[in-house]
Amino acid sequence: MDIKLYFTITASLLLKKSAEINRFPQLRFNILLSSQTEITPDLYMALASMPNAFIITLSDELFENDADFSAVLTHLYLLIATGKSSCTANVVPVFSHTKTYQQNPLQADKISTYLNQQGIHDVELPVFFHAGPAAQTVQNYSLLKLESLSENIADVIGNFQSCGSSTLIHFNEEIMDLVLLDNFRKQFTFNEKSGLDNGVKELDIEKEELAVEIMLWKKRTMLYQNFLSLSKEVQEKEYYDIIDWYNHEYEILPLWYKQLGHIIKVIMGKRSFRSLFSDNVKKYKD
Amino acid sequence: MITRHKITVLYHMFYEDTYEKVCAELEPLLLFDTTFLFNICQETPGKKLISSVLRDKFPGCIIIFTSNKGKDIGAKLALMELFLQLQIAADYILLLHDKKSLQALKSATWKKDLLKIISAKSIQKSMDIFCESNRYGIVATNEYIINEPFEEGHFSGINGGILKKLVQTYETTPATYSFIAGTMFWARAKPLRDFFKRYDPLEIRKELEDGNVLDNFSGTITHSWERMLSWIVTSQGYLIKGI
Repeated sequence: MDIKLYFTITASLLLKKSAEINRFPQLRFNILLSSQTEITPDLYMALASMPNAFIITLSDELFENDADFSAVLTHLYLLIATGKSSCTANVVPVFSHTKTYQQNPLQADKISTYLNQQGIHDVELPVFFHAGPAAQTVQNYSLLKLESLSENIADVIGNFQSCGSSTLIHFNEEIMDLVLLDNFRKQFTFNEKSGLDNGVKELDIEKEELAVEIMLWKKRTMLYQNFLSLSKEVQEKEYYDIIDWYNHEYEILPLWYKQLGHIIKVIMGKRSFRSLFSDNVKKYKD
Repeated sequence: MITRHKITVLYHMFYEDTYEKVCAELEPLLLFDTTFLFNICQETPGKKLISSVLRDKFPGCIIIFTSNKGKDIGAKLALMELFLQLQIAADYILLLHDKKSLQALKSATWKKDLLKIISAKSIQKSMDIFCESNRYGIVATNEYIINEPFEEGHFSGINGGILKKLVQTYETTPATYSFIAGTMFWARAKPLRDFFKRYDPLEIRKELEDGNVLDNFSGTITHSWERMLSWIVTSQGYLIKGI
């Protein structure tokens, strides 16, 4: 199974690194939002300008922010919308500091309903615990907590045997060097069992994007077909609207008035004089 | 660069083959102090290519990707929310989209006419109109300023029932019910900003219909908001000027 790695990064670190992030387009990020104050215009700009796929994770404080939850929802949707050009999962993980934390079903429902109403369907909201075990799996998603980048990669891979298709990597020490993070990603994508290198893995991601594109083109073909069948119906209505307009605006006038109108057209140079007496001559100028 | 006016463009793209044309159409705006906010429909194939072309042509532009909800109206509401969140200090907002209306007989001329407002000459003309008189809140193509039928205190058009509710809910009572058909126009930023700070654009967007909704046969919330986007401005005492 292909596992997508999302490296957890705080909003403030993302802003610090936004200038160099473009150099590492293969890195996928899990943006951890802890408070509303982190959601600034600069964060929007940084997310909108980076080519990387990302997901947004809410801290439990933000998730339980009853006082201004509608603002949280608005930000959440818009932030997700800045990164929806690539095939990212419809998931909003929640990171809790409390081991016994129980996700408030009302808040979860509010998020799913809101995103659904905005057109992001079937959103999953897995809860992970900061104080919990090093590897946690909820639904199709996993969290792997690592002390530092220097951890033995073989052990790390070992921990992935039962992981979900998307795995959030969280380093306890803040990673300031994106080169190291990218190297970690490259090491991970080397598949020991098959001997395939990371280039092949990257092709897998491209293959997935291609599958999405094919699906979109198929949908688009259907849409144009619908337009064709609809256009007949609409244009027929437009035709009858014009006929209706003609009947009400012109046909209803008395014959003598219409004949006088044609003479006025000749006087104004908008119709040829000879056309008043013969149907075989050209009526109007091109 | 002509820096006197701060302009923000809210542009919705639905079609996969219009991006090169869009870049050409918007080129005159690069001479001004312009911020470009784009929305590309989530269902549009080739989003990565389109967004990279847009980023090359309009450095610093912000692109979002939203579902096909409320057609260009839903997209413009999402862009309006982005505009507010980014706290952009614009004087004027330009609403545009890659209109095709493939089902309509006169679709080819619609777009051409509506886009008159962004020729180099028309941009300057629009700015002059706004500067000359504070009374004007919207500048649009003359032929597309339409009067919504209103007889004996009631909306009598196909969207009448929905419009009645919307003008009551959002307290929009303009002096006349003129609006810009096609929703491509220049507007002063202030009345739009004031309205949408009061009424969350995404809350409005939630109510719009999904997919390519048409009002040829029955009224729709989406097409009612097409009218409301003009009335938000005119109900604050501004007039529409046709060019």
